[in-house]
Amino acid sequence: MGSVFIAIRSLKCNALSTFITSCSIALACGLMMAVYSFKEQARDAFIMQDIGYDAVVGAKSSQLQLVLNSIYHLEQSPGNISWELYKSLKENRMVKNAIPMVVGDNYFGYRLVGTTTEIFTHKENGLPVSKGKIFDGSKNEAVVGAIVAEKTGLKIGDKIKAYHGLIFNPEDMHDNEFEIVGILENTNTPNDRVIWISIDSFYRMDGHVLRGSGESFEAGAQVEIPDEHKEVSAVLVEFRSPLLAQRIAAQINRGDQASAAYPIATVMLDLFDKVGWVHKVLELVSWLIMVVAAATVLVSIYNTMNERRREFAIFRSLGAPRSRLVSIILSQAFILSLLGVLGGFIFYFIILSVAGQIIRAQTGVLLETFKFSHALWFGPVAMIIISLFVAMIPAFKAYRTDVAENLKPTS
Amino acid sequence: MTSLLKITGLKKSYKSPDSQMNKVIDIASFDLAAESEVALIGQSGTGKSTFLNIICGILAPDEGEVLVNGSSITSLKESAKDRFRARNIGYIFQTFNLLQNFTALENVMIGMSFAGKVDKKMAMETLSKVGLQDRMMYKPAQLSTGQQQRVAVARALVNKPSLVIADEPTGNLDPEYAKTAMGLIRDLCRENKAGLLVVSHDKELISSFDRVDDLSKINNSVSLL
Repeated sequence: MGSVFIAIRSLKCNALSTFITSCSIALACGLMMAVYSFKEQARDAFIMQDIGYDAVVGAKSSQLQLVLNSIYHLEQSPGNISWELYKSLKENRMVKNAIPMVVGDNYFGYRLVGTTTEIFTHKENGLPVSKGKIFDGSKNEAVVGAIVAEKTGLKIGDKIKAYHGLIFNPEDMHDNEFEIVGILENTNTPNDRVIWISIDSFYRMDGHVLRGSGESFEAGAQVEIPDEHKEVSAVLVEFRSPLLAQRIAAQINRGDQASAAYPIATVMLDLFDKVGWVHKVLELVSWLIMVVAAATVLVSIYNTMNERRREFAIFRSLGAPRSRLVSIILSQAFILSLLGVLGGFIFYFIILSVAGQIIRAQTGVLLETFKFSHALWFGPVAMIIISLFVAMIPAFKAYRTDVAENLKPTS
Repeated sequence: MTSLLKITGLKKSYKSPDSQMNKVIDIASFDLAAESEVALIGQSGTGKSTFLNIICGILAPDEGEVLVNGSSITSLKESAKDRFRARNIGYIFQTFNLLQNFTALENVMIGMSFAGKVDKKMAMETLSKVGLQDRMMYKPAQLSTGQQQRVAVARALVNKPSLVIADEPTGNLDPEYAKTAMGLIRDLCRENKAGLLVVSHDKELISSFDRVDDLSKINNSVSLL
């Protein structure tokens, strides 16, 4: 017959109020945990993830645009650089690996990226093929990322036609047909949202005009393409050592031909720092919602205080010390908030699952619903502490119950 | 016979709405021997409930001392007073003051819990003694008035207190059952060797007591009211 028993009975007797209060706590706590967890995971996914390349070299533009376009397959391409620059990087002894990329077409919104087979065969960071094979550089073949295969239903042997531009427009369809020859493993990276074709087949698509030499050059099906006409949207570069990387990146950035985004993680960190205020606002809002939820605990307990004065007076007349009344009220707040935070975990998983699906569909990056986050313990603990804190108000009222006055016959 | 309750120089005043101090209790002395039964009478406004609340330690007097079983309840700290009340004093109210959200058994057991000894078996035995063996899991609203009164009696006596105080215990009962109810209280007090102090207006009920004190006479403040 402890305080917890009495508190539970009171909560049961006010079941509707208990349910509503618990739900409001669950929503607040779930939202708070989701905001923090989302922030941590997004940061990890975009900054901490090993991309496998040290730098992105592309047309003169912001480093962020280069990274977003080449690594995350977002944003417009800032322009092209010459094949010559790519070759010089490729042949540079300080460069371990350089992979060219050309962009400009899509298939129902999913980007087609023209590249070399090194994107798959690279020793450490090659994209793994789960079904089929990698494309033949001389044929109109395509390898699709896991999300593309999942969302479009494309399978090996299917034939597709690309659409011009990075945004899907059904009227801008190319005539060239590509056969799907491979499907990539799910990597939970932006690469899952890409259709990979050979750089040569990209150049030869109808309507593609190469201006590497300054003059327009349209490659036919069987025509040899001189290097001087070729252009690339970006080059993914892996250096032999960080020291050399810094030197080469600085050298590129000093010139007027291209920009080098290096190191990639720092570029993304800058982005997160720039949009950091959004997270701070979201965090603030989530804390405010927690306080509002705690206020519902206060209201739900306080509203019962008038009818419970007599009950408390009876407890006191039976020998309950004032501290027992306080512990009954605090137990009630604790149980309410505990029910709420348990429900909060359900809301958290729902919020993160839904947000995760949206983010995965938009960026290819996967948020792990069951990944540990510090918010998963400090959110619930904070919620319980705030609830107990606000419950001190009705607890104080219970403490001050006038026994003799409240034991008087009511009729 | 040893003294169960000894009161000396008890005074209590209340502040009236017009800020005047109204003396409600002024009792030079009052005694109750162990295992004895006393009926206390007095007209409305003679301070009966205040007097009982002071004896129980629910109200603190302005002056004077209340000794229960030789312990000065008036000089105990509040928490000690609460503990003392739970273990030594059983209080039966006119309106029973049962906990509406709890069953008859729980009402009795909660009374035990504050005394620090929850014994479900004893609680059930006590309820059986008052004839509620088949109503233990009923909540007060599901019981008749008489049954509610019996739950209140069981709750007051389950801790085997040495002093039982009953404030108009039959006031809410029909005259026919009032006699039976009072008999039950007295029987259980005798069985537990507890002293009984009953406040009542019921002349028939009072007539069965050997000692009847008139509060109007022992409370010197009454003439001022």
